[in-house]
Amino acid sequence: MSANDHSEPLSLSGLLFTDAEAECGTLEDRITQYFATWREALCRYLQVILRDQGEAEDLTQECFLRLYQELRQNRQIHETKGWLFRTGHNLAIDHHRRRDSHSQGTVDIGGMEIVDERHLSCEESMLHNERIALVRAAADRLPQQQRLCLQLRTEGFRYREIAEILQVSESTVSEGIRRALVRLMKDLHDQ
Amino acid sequence: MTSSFSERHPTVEELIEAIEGELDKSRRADVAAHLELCWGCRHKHERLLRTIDRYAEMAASGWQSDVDRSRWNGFASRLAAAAASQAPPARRISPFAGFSLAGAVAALLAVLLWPVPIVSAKEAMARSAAAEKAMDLRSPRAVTVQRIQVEANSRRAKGKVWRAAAHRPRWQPEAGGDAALWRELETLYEQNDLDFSRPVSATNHAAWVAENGAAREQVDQEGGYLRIRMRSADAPEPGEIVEAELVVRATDWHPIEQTWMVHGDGGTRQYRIVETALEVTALTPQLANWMDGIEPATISELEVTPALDPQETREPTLLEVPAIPVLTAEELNEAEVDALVAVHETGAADRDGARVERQAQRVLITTYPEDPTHLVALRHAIKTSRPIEIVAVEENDLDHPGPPTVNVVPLAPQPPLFFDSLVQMVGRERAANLVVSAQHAALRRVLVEVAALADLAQRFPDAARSALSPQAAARLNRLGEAHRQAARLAWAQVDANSRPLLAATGVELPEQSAAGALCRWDGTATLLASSVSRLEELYSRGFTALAGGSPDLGQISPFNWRQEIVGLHANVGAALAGKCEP
Repeated sequence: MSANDHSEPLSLSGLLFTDAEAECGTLEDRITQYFATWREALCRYLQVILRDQGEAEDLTQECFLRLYQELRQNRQIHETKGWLFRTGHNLAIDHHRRRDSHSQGTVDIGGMEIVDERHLSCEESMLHNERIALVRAAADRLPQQQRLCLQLRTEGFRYREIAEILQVSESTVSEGIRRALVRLMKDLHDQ
Repeated sequence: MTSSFSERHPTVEELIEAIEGELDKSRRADVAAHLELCWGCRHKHERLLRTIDRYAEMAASGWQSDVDRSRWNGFASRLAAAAASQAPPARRISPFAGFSLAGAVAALLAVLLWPVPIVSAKEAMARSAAAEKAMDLRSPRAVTVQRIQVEANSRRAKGKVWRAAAHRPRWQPEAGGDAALWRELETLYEQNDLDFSRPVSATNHAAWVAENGAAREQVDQEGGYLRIRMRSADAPEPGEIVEAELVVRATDWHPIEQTWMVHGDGGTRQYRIVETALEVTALTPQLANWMDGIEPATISELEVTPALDPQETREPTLLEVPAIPVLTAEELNEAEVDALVAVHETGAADRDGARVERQAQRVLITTYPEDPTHLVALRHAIKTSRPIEIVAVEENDLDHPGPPTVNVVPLAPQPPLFFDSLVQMVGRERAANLVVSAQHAALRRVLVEVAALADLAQRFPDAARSALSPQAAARLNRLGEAHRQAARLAWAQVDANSRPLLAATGVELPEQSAAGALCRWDGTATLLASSVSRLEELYSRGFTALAGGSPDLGQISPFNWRQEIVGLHANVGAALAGKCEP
């Protein structure tokens, strides 16, 4: 590309979407597709921060609407999933702070639901719920950053991506996951 | 005397790294081989896997997977409402026209007023190239003077490049820099078909991408700057650029830093070129003559060219772009020293597991304070305005690992070589156990301190230390001496414990020789760490049933044990006393 290439006004069309993406149909179709693919993972993550499923669902929708606004303004977004989690993380932290400042820290921690039990016997269901409750109690005792690292790792993000979402270094992520696992292991197996 | 990785027990950290795929291939194979053989580690490994499974099961159960889809119905209507609203037009680059100086300034003001966007690499590059072109479209009576700093590892050179329409671009290296570095850079630009008169340039960057294709591209926003990274899609030949990085100011897209990663026989070399200032000044006839008058205008010729008479450049400066604060390697070295000293003096390393990490433009301290006052103390200990950032990780458990040490993990039980003799000598088993425990505690303390010494020696090799300011070098030496002194104190305890322990083995330690030249604290740090680690292993084998570390300990004879421990005592004692060779 030489300097003369820019003697005409630059057109940004063609830089905004790849061909593969363009084939997906309208922007609304793409957002609906993204929503169907990632809403649950994102909502699970936001629940860890907010401890409220209703609020997590609401913010999940907000994230996808923001993604829509960004793409409609011709902003290029690489790694859409990472962008969604980063945006969701920031929105949830802001929301959590605002809520805490209004409610003086009264946080509902009982909002999580238990797995679909229709296919389990009564005894199996009871044991399953008990096991889940034990892990959840141990996870709730983890420092928040370790818990977030672990949750993002569970959602399939690599250390580099987690570091970008949480705005920390990769070594902090690695250390956070290590400490979280060691502590969970002690809590769950040394009882 | 060191054992291979597969022969020693992996730490929990290594097991997690292996599970996470973060260990390199050979080490992962070592761990896998070890797990085949060691039941204890396999049990630990399985517990970790079970923990991960249980967490994943819990995480998934926090969600009623699509049992109730109706709650998402609201999204379709919200998206439809958003789609119905007026879409804003996409921004387009404005053309810059006119060749007057006023026009150029107006055009620059226009780009200065644009907001900071989030853009793709191609768009950022195109906009930056457009801004560069706008600079070129100024009056033919103007000349651009770009001050440049080039860094390649520890080498550095500074200079200016003069550019004016219809005149030959000229380089003017500053005296005292690395002249060979300029020649190297010129060759690099020639070899890769780049314009050497534009050392920091989106146009060059774009030309390189057009030629090589970009296998990977990325844009990161760092404050008011955008960092555009691209990697070549082609397999590189020696001397070819494999990766390019351009930093542009987000307010006006002006490129301020260029980094080229160059493929070579001995690995990848990095050239970092930073624009430290940019001036646009009037082109006087004398200046035009100077720019055109000497043939040929290459760097090697310019080295003998006398610097431009300052009288010729006293025309008023029309536009001056402030230099960005770019940290030099020396400044980062000094920040690192400050951070290490603060971490040591506040006890954060031992108490809170604080670690110092050097990054591209800052030094990061990651700490796990058990008490908020520890963090306050650490912040207070950093008195300088250096780019040191502290990240405090919320932590309330007590199992932080502290400084890196060599773990003594139980191997298959083996009877201790000399414990019975020790019991006979001191009369009671409990008393013998106490002496052995005290020896292990003292050795562990020595190991912590010598590991800190080895870490310092690794962070600051001779080249880095010689580049430090005298004050920073003195602080580093004081820190090194403090660790050595702490190691000496702990070693005195080891020495005292050794007498009864070794008497039970039939060994009499010779008195330390006073001969030997004094050596620097960093002279033998790494060797010292491995010697102390080995001593720890030998004492374990001699007096405990849980011999850990190298499997050769299981086969060691009492004779060899005695020989080795005497030699190690002499070496460690001499090194800590500051004597290199007896």
